[in-house]
Amino acid sequence: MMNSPTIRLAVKLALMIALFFCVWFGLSRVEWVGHFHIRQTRIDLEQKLGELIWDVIRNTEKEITDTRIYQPIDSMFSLICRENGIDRKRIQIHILDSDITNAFALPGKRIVVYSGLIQDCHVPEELCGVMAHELAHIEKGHIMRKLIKETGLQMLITASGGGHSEMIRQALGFLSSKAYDRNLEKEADIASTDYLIRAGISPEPFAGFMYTLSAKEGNVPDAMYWLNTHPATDQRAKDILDYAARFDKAYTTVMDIEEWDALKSILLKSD
Amino acid sequence: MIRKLTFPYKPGDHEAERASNSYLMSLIAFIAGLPFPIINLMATFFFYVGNRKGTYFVRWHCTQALLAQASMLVMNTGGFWWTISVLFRDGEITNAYIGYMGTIVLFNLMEFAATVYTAMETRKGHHLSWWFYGDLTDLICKPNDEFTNNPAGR
Repeated sequence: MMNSPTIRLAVKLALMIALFFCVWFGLSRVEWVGHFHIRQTRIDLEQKLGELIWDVIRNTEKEITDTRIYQPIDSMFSLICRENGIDRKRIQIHILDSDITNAFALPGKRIVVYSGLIQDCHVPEELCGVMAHELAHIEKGHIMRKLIKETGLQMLITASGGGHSEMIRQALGFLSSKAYDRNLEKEADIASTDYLIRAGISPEPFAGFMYTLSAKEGNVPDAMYWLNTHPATDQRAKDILDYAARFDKAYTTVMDIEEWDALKSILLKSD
Repeated sequence: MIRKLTFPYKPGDHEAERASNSYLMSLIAFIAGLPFPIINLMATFFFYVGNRKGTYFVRWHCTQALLAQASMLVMNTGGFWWTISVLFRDGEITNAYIGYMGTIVLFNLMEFAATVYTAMETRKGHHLSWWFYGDLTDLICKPNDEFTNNPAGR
């Protein structure tokens, strides 16, 4: 049996803990984030960083603006955005002329796709999968989380002030060549599969693309950056297929294979 | 919240000073160790260890100061690691985070004010028992033989 001082003490402790949580709950009800414009400040920071990083890329890489290449890819990407209620105008997509097999998302809602990756896609649905995956990183807010984890918020705020080109290059390095956290990758895989399914695009080719990459794992050429940033692809391909199997949906092709091959040969000639 | 009680004996001037110092110690540590809450607890703990063989009055107040610091440590550690997570992990400043920081600031201020007041009163030889912490201290800190044999504490 507990004696009365112990019970009194337990009641007081419970009251004190309850008081703490009540004060916390009460203060959490206040819309501090809106009042202090924290969300807008964060969006501004992301936008500014995105512009600075893109400036570095634009000055060192060649962007492909040929409408015969850009237009079909843009149409596929627009289809994914439209069918998922994502405002296409907010997101910019850039195709860079390079043998590197890579694609990544930048802060400020930009997606960069290297022509090397397009060349490695046997069917356009594979590229759709990669773009949907990068789109998922944007929509889930993974990019800033990755950058903050790698560099710290303070450094990003400093870098966004301009005149810190080394920091910006470092941030670009993290985004283009370092893997996301495993949980973030999983979240992006599932979200991108959802995007594809809603857009009527089969996720199977995307999973197949990952299987192809996983076969190259351990024997990766230096240029295979997308594999470096998206490891353990065989298991992830299996997870995508398992997830997609839950949906009974008919899929359509986004582009004829002849058109796709024609696009790739234009890309090859432009190299 | 703070009750002024009659201690079983009247503490001497030297005792009152040492008991008061236990609160001052936690105050100094509080100011010095604000970003690192463990510093507060460590400083108070070492002062407690240094006085564990002191008289009942000194031990009692050292224990109360230590217990109050321990609970602040739990709250402040939560705030500290949440801030580290904001700065170096997800960077997400939410209403819950600001609410939590506001809560621990309020509790720290209350603890700070209570500590200053108790240090002043204890220095005068008054016995101040805090709500909850005083009761807990009564359970933990028992009079020693010296006090039982010589209640005047001389």
